Amino acid sequence: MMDFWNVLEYAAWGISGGLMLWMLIDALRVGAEHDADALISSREGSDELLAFQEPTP
Amino acid sequence: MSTTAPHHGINLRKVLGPIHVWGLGVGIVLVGEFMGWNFAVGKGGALAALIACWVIGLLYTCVAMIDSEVTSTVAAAGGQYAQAKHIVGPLMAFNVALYLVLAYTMLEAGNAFVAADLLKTVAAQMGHPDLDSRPFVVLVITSLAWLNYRGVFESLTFNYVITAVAFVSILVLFWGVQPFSDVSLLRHADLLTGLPYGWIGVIASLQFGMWYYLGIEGTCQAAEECRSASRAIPLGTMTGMITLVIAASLTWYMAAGLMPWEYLGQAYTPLYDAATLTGSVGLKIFLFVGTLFSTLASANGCINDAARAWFSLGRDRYMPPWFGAVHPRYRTPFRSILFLIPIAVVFAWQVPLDGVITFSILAGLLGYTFMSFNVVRFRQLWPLGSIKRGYVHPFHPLPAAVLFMLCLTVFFATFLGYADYLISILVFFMLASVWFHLHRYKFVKRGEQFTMPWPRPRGY
Repeated sequence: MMDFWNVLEYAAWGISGGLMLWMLIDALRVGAEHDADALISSREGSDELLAFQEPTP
Repeated sequence: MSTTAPHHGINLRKVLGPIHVWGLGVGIVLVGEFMGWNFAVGKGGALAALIACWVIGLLYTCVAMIDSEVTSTVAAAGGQYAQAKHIVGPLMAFNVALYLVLAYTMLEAGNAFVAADLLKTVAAQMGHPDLDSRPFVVLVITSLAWLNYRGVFESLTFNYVITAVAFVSILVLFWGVQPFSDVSLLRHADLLTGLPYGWIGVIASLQFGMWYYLGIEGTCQAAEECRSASRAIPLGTMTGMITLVIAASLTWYMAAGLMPWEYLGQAYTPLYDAATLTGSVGLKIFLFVGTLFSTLASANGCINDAARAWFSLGRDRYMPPWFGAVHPRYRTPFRSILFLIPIAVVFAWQVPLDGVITFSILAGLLGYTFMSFNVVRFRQLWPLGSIKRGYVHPFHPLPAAVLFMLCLTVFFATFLGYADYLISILVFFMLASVWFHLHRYKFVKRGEQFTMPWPRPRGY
């Protein structure tokens, strides 16, 4: 007969599998619904500090 | 005047403030106060561990100051990778990113292993000694990865809260041992027995002294997602460093006053043991929660940082650009987060814990050594006044010189105990560099790498 800890082990496997599946399905869905170039269109960050550079000497 | 052109692609979300940066940096490190630092005691005695605490504290203060200055200008995910790319060049940037990814993923795996092992200990104490820890390792990694997948604000707010609880548990334990009372439990006069292995023991202890602070430089990975990186990164990193110096000193003071160095030097969870010695059930439970939270915070921060470093490599085509994708709804580097999950699980199941720790220390050390050269070159190419900085570190180039000398000393300390690891990691990075030069660099869009709107560097 399974005790509390055995149930916990199976629950951990189950939750892990569920979360992994959720992420995989979501990632595949995003890949199918969006243009590949749009997904990789990010550019390195800029800060408000960088928008007002000093004139080059 | 050069300005930053607005960009309308799918970018990482700018939602983080100084408290998130603090939670990220301290969260990655604080587990080192709960376990790991005390192996420095085994190398050279309790006093050696105190010397290591402060000497390595100086090393990391230099790291925090230098990182704060450079990152407040290079507000990009990838942290030290982006710095190396702009200041030195592609080969160094590739190496830096590679050891960032490996170090954080291995550290994440180590934390997941420890969190699961803590649960196994509880199960054993409650009459179930053969609990399988593997599902809990996977649960820690996947649930934190899921949190990271869903959004950086949610994951780093969570990190801030559990890190704060873990830090408070150290303060409460300090209050619990009644250091200023006549009936204090602390016995420093009896337990501090000098330096059992002399000064060579002090040098050897520096390696594990790294554990007090290792990972605070991870704050830089959040730069691209800060509302104002020039403010949040220096503020979060510096307050994080102050927090860690306080936590490390209190931890040493309590543990060295409660346990003989022969035991402390090989204890698995020294702060939890200290709480047990107070005889208070409440403190014992609180320190268990603190220990567990610190491992989760560290694993969570490592997932965040490893994914940003890997994402940056993909974005610059150092790795396939597929990894450089941003989730259109959650604005996270979702493919990098997903890709690193199975790697972390394999590390947690297959790599011994001491190997993980030593590899992380060596990877960090390599980064800090390069950092000392980076900042000198940064100041040469873009002197003060040529670009705006959110923070300017004082006494340059003294911190860079101190950092370099301390890194060399810790390399020597590591060589004393783990020469095989040291040589292995150096060979690995040399082979990786050859692979990058011969097979990967041809895919990199060279003209698009330099993204900061800075004036032309001096001398070019």
